Amino acid sequence: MGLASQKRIMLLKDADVIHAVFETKQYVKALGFTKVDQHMIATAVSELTKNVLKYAQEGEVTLNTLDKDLKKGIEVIVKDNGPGILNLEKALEDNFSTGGTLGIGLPGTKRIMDEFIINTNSSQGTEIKTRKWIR
Amino acid sequence: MNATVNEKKLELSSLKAMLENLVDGVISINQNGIIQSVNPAVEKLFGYHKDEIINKNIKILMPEPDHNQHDQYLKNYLTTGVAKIIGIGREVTGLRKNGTTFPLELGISEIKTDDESVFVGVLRDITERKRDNELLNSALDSLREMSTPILVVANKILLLPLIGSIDSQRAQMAMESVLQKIQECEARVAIIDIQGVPGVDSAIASHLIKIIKATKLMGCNCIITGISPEVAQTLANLGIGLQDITTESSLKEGLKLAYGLLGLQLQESKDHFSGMASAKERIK
Repeated sequence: MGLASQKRIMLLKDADVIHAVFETKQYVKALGFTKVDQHMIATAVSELTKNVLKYAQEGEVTLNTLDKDLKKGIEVIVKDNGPGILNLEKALEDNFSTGGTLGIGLPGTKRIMDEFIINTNSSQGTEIKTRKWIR
Repeated sequence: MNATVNEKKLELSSLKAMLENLVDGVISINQNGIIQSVNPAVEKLFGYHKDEIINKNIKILMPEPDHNQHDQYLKNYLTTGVAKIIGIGREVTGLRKNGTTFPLELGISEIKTDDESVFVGVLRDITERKRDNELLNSALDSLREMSTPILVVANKILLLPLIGSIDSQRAQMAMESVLQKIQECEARVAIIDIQGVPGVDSAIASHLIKIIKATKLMGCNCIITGISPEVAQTLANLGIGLQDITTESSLKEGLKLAYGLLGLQLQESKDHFSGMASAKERIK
């Protein structure tokens, strides 16, 4: 059984990132993640939501509870209708950035989380679905 | 037949009730700008009784320059068909009976009959919204000002305690003020304490790295302190290397190192004040 409680946050302005990170921290704390994991998941949400505002201007983040075979976890889905990621392979490499930043956000988030799936194309935008399980 | 007439009657009276109770003002004018009808909200907004404004030119509700220009606006639209406000909506200023003005959000639609046009305007008083916005902006400004203090903790040692979330604007402000202070105080060591930063993602790390590089260019050593175990592990997992950056777990250790870099020694003592005194002694 999944999706016990869902939280959705619209991403339209910088303050929405701060809000999304704050909500994520509360959400994963309630789920029972360790302090370090709480921090890591919140940081992952910060990376992904900042990307939305930077490259797609607006989007949405959804937090879901996972409850499967006695394992609990969180699913974070970040969606936008932006221009898509042109070179996905490169974007997942360390230190590659088209935006003049460190180029560590996507590969770093992938390392932080347990599962990480990207769907991206120029007509429908980008959807990143990522999960982390309680250890 | 009777049923449809009744339905129409019901529709009309419910529309009328809506207009009567609407918080927004609704005004209709003909194509000469003469007010045809207003709802009660308009009376409240402008302080007129409806009998005082019906059959008057709409410009009596406007301050200059619109007051003098409105007839021309209408003429321009009716001859060119180029809409400046109809179907677009914008912020305008209203003039009350008592001579005071207030900000309005105005939307206008045109209703065309065979030989004439009627314009219907919907007005909303946005005084409060504007005041709230201004209040919020000034609060944010003062928050920004407060949030990047730079302390001279000792001769040639600066401390920049960062608190709260850091966006690019705050990072830029912090950088500018720390560089200026370095020059003013001929500082040799700058300690940036990030204990009060709730999370460090790659964007914030990149801002920090920029500040550190700039301080180094000014001939000043930079020490980052207050990295919590959570932040440390997250940074490591993200793959952000701080190899070239001096870090200390606590501000205390950072200060010790800063003194060391200046060839001084900070003596620990049970007596807090004598410890401070001996440090001072050595700086001289």
